[in-house]
Amino acid sequence: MMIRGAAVALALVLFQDPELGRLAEQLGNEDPSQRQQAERRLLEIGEPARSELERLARSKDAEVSGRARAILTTLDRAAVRRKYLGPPWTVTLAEGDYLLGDLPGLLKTQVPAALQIPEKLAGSHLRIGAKEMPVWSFLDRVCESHGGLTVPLERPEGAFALVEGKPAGAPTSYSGPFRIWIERLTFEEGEKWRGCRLVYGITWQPNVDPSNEGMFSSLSFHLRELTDAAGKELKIERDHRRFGSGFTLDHDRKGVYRHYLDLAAPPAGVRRWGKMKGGVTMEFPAKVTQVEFKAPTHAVGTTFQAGSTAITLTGYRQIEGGIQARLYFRRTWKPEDAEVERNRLELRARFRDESVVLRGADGTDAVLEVRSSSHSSSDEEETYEILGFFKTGQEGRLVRFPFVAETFEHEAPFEFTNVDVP
Amino acid sequence: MPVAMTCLPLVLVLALSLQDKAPPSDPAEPLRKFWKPVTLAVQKASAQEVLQEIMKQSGETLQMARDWEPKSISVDLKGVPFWRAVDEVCRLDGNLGLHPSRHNLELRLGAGVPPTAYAGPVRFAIQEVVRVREIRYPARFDRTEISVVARWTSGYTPILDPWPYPGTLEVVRAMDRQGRSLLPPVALEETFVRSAGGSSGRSAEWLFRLQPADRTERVLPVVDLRWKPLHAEEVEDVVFENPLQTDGVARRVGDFTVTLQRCARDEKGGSMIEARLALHADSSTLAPEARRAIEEVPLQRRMLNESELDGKKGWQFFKVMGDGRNPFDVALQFWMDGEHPPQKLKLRVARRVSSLSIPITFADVPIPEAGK
Repeated sequence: MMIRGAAVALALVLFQDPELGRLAEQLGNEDPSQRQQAERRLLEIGEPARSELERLARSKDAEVSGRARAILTTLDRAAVRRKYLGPPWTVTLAEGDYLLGDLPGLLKTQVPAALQIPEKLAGSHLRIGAKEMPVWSFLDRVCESHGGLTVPLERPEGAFALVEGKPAGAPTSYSGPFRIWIERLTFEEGEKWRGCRLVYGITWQPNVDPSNEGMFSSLSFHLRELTDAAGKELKIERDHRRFGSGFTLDHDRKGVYRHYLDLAAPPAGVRRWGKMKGGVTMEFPAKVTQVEFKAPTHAVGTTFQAGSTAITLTGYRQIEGGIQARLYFRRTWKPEDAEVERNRLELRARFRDESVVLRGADGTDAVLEVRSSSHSSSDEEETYEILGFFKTGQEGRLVRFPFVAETFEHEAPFEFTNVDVP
Repeated sequence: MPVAMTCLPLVLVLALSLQDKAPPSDPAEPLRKFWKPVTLAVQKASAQEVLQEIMKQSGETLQMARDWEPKSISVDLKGVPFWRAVDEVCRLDGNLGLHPSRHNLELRLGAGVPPTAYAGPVRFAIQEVVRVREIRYPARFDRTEISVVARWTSGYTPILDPWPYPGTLEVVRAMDRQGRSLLPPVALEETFVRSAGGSSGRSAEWLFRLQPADRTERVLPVVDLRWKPLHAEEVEDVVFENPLQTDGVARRVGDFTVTLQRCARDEKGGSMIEARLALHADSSTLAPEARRAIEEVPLQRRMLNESELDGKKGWQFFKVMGDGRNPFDVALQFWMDGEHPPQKLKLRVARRVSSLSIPITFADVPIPEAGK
């Protein structure tokens, strides 16, 4: 992919320079429509036009430099999206009988992530065919066709896997690089609550890396359309169990996230939902800032601004065996923005504890071992504090760690059809 | 020495031992010392005054319901436990009950009295019955969920074993009106489901997932449980003065020792004080009966889950270090808030422990109507 991109860029430099030159001139044209046309074309060309745009961004003509900078910002955003939200992968395979053990090899040329299968089933056969089918959809088809395979809840790092088991046959929606499914439907009838709990799962290809993995808020799952089997629209009545005695959430799995939504019981007589339509929102890093506190002994009380987050080194002292450090994070907003801001990526999900390091005089890094942490949020702010320990014999020259200063959201739409009320 | 003289002490020990083991008529009788009986006979008295008298006699307190207009009631209670007396007043008043949340020790208007059973200082109540129909693709897990809440009097400190429950509670029989059993329990992965809730200072909650009841049923005539708590027969206070300077100090508790091996601030940060205890009994010198007792109830189960730091009582969680397989040699770790250097640490240790088995019986447990 990179080689192909470089070749396109080279071709543009060698053969399309005249176009870039013309577009550069057009960007400063007196006619606004001409300027807009040039801007659109430069966005279409994208990365290959970057060096020309960087030159134009330094132009003395404010109109030209402004437009060039705006295009560069868009390109930067697109580059970040590509980094964390890779393109969907598809599979094309002629309809036929295949040996399960041959599938990983056949997929290798189409999907840049390995497929793991149970070795003992490698000799089994299945009939399958696919034409530009999303990879998740293909894997579910493989399971159905085989009859003894299922997609495991947790995807292995950097790969896909199928394991031995009964195919779930759960309502599933394929959305770009995402697979969204209803894992469970529960209908409860008690004196205190009568309603449904829908447990959904979302997993993604290995080329997708959301920041809020394991920390989606309950508002990440949006159900926007609900109909009965005849297509009649049903009111979406979110409900929550009163006297809820606590529910177990699983936040520890990688490459997958499950959450739930409580709905009021469907009207009497409704035994099937015809359509459930909505989306799952995730957050990805838009800007990662390297937070640094130089000469930390003297930096206690200083603040590093990372986007809208103020990060303060509030403690740093030598104790037996190393250094104890305390970091305080604070993000503020206007009360009217509270609903949106409180559901943004939490401060504790914007960096990893183990990425906070203390660089010693000899250039080696000691990793922070977090001892305690506290988190709070209100209608006006979110704060997070960690107290940790660097195991080191040195005084330390620099405390540093990467921090997600800005994020972008992506919504993966879903649509489930003909879902039986349990 | 004559044979008869040698045998006499043995016979006496055996006789005493057998006497000890004789089953009491009331299985909860060993817990008798943890509650004060209520005896009260009144005619047409204010329910509020009756409750106040019950609290006075029992030494227990409950927060009264707001805006309650007590009725005039007549009661005749003879040596009953606190909870039974309170429930009786609530039944007679008709508009009162214990707060359904196990975290609240208060009376509430309209709460009513759920199916209830009593075991000395402990009141068991079926707090909720829920019909659950569930599909976990591709399997079904339909069930009847029964949550049972136990509350106990202030004088009772249960041994939390298995942690965090004051003993085990199991369903031994649950039947519908046709005699169909709701056993065995339904086993499932416990994510995104109602959880049992555990224990807090004066209460515990269990959740039983049983087979689904027929949709036509409105009542479960039989729900029999068995409560198996560990009973601390003799409890000793173990005190360590200036615990931060008391590393290695041992206290004898009956057949074993409790040593404060370490008590220090977490050197890597935080305000907590980490303490380690070693409980040890020399199995080679123990009498056979004492040895058997420790084999049956290992030393880590002798700690009552409370501590007192400079006069302030708190709940305590003792973590067993290592595999805990040797019942005679146990290391426990726990943490205390260490804002100020503590002067006195008091722990409560059961010198003698026995296992109880108490039937808890509920009759005619209502279940919600199944939807159409």
